[in-house]
This record gives sequence, C-alpha cells and structure tokens, in this order.
Amino acid sequence: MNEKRRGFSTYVHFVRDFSSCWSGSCSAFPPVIILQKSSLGLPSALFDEFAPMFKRRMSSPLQLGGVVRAQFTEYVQKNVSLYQFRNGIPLTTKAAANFMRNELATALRKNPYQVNIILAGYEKETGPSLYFIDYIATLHKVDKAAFGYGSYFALSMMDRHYHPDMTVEEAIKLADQCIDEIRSRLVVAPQNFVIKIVDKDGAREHSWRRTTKE
Amino acid sequence: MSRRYDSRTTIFSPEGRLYQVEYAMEAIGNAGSAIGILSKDGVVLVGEKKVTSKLLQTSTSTEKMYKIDDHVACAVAGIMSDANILINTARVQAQRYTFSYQEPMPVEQLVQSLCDTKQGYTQFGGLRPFGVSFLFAGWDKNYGFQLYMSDPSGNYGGWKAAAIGANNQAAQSMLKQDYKDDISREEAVQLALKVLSKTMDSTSLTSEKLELAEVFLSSSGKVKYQVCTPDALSKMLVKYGVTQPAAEA
Repeated sequence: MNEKRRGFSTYVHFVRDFSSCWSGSCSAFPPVIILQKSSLGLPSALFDEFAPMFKRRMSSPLQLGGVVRAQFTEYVQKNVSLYQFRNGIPLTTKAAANFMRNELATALRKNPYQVNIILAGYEKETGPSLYFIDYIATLHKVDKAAFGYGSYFALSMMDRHYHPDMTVEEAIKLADQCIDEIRSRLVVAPQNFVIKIVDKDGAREHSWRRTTKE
Repeated sequence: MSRRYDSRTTIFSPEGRLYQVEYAMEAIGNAGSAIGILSKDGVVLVGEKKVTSKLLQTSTSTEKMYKIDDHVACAVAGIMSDANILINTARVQAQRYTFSYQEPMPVEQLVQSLCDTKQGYTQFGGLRPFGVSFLFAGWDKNYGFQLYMSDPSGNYGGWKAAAIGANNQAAQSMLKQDYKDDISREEAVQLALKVLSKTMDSTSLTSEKLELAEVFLSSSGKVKYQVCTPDALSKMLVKYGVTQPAAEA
C-alpha cells in the first residue's frame, strides 16, 4: 500500500438543512455514517455547523434537538481548549473521548444529554483513531461506526465491505455506497451529506454529496 | 516585636517576607536529605534515612520514597506527618485524572496540583504551611523523564539534578559541578551516592542509612518504579567506593 495514503481518515455525514437542526425540532435522527479505514485511517462524520474541536480532532454529535447537542459539543470543545491552555499540551483523542463519556455518565442520572457522538482524531504516536459514544455513556473504540436510522443500512454496508487496510479512496467509495444505500432505502433520508477527513494534516472537509442546490 | 509578623502565615513583614514560610524551609534544612538526578534513561532518587533508634520497627522498606502513581514517585524532606497528607492528595489527584481521561496524569500537572495545595496554606489564614519539600521523579509521554523540586511556599521547578534537606546547598553545588548532560542511570546513581556520602553528617555510608529508588522504562516500554534492596545497595556502595567493605562494621 502506498505509504503516503496511510493514516488518513475520511468521514461522511448526513446533514439535514442546518436551520432545522438548530431549531431543535428534528423529528428523526439525522443518520450519520462513519467509516474507518482501520488503524491506519478512518472516515467519520461531522455536523458542519461545528468547528473542529481542535485542529486534529472532530466530533460528530447527534441528537434529537439541536440546542442540547450544540451545548454539549461546545462545552467539550471549550474544555479541551482550556486543558491545552492550562497545560500546554493537547488532550489526546482517547483522553477527550473518555472526558466526554465521563460527562455524559455524570449527567445521565441527573439531566441526561440526548447526544450520540462519533469522535475522530489523529495523533502522531497512535495514528488515527475513532471512538463511538452514545447518550447513555457507552464508549467504544471502533473501526467503523454509524448512528441514526440510516445506521442500519450503513452498518450492514460497512460490515460487508470494510476491511482494515483500506486506502482513503476505498473508504470514500464505501462512504458513497452507504450514502447511496440510505438514499434508496431510508424513507426519511436527508438530502445532503458531507465527507470529512482527519489525518496528520488536521481535520478538514473533503466533499459534499448534494441533492439540493445551494 | 517580631511576633507581629511571625504569628500568621498570611501577613507580609515590612521587608516583604513571609516568616512562617521561611521557618518552614528552615525546618526542612534540618531534615534528612534527598537527592534526585535526571539521566537520559531514568530518574534516580537517593535519600538519607535518619536512624532514630535501633528499637524502632519500620513498617515499610522506605521512609522517604513514595510511589504516587505507576509513573511518578517522590522523595520527601521535612515533617513526615505533613508529607503524608500531601502524598495522599497527590495520589488522589493522580487517580482522579486517570478516572477522567483513562490516561496517566502528566507529571508537571501532578506537581502543580500539589503545589497549589501548598500555596493555599501560605495565603489563607490561620494555618501553618506544610513543612515539606519534595523531589518528584516521573515519566510521561509528552516530556519523557522529569525531575521536579518543590518547597513549602508552593514554588516548583524542573531540574536536572536537585537536593533537598540537610546540607542541600553543598549537595546542590557538588551536583552542579559533577553533573553532565547525557548521564546514564548507572552514572546518576553513582553520582548521587557520591554526593550524599560527602554531604551526610555520618562518616560512612551504609545501606541502613540510605534508600535508593529509580524510575525508568522497562524493556517492554512500561514505566517502572524500583526500590533498591539493602543488599544490592550495600554491594553498590562498595563497588562505587563510597564506603569501606564490611570490615569496619
């Protein structure tokens, strides 16, 4: 495999139109597909209205009402920044994931956040990594992940086609397969998707899959 | 007259000093000394045990060295009862961090959290400061091996070689003279023992009066805290020529 291609992550996300997300009244989970290219690279997903948590990390939170999601991710983002400010070293993806899980677990028996999170990050030492956290504070380190109604299709697709030494191109192709599957089978499929990549150069948008005009 | 500024930790004297804090440092100057040396493949801590009585039964093999977490250990000089409190808080802090992030706490953060506690007692009224200095030896993934020294005021700093307790200034200047960058762990042990043998009051070093602990990476790459056994220490003292072989005993 081409060495340069290693350590890439791509990720896909279904984005309903933003205004409805912010209104906090999404009636269905906007589905998210996350594909990981293995320990060598991964695709994951992100709601576009959020800036990357920091340069090398992204989260793709999802929940019923947009306001709570915004609150939680912003809270995490600010805490991660605060940590870096105070200590001069960044929090690792693993530490950030555990921090999020801890926050969700603490809130769970008081005032739970209705947020699922897929967290993608890249560190020089550990390479890319992908974490799945749901609203009842389950944390898993995974190779591929999805949530929402579309996840049933996306996960099956990824179970069938994913393999650990995928290249980024293959991963993006698999993301597209997932998107096609959701578009053709999910009644409440969202109109637009965005694919993002996290790798050694940071987190960035890769491309969109639109059915609407801007 | 001096009573006016002595009696409370929170009050500056007209010369801008905090007497209670200075007295605390003075108290440490009488305590058994400890030396820490940073080497390229580990950190070495050596401490002087004050043998108070032959009849005293010690419950632990070390009385100055404490393991804080898997990757951090410390050596103490000062009032042990004060130190026990701080060591306990340090251990709690380290575990709290692990609970939050599932990762070992970076060494400097641990030192800082402890020094914040120390500082609090120099400012918030009615209490005396902790009469303890620490040497922290640890390893973390960001900065590798590290050695920190802290005093009762809550100041701390990273050092290549440091000494606390009795005769710390003499020890410090010897270390300054003899320390070389890229020193190996074995050389660091040798240097620490040499310095301690010269700065300690007693004429000959024996393993009963010393303790030696090291933090280093094992062959599997895991951080290891190891306390030297009295037997091994005795052999080492002879090997490095800082004590006469058993003859004089």
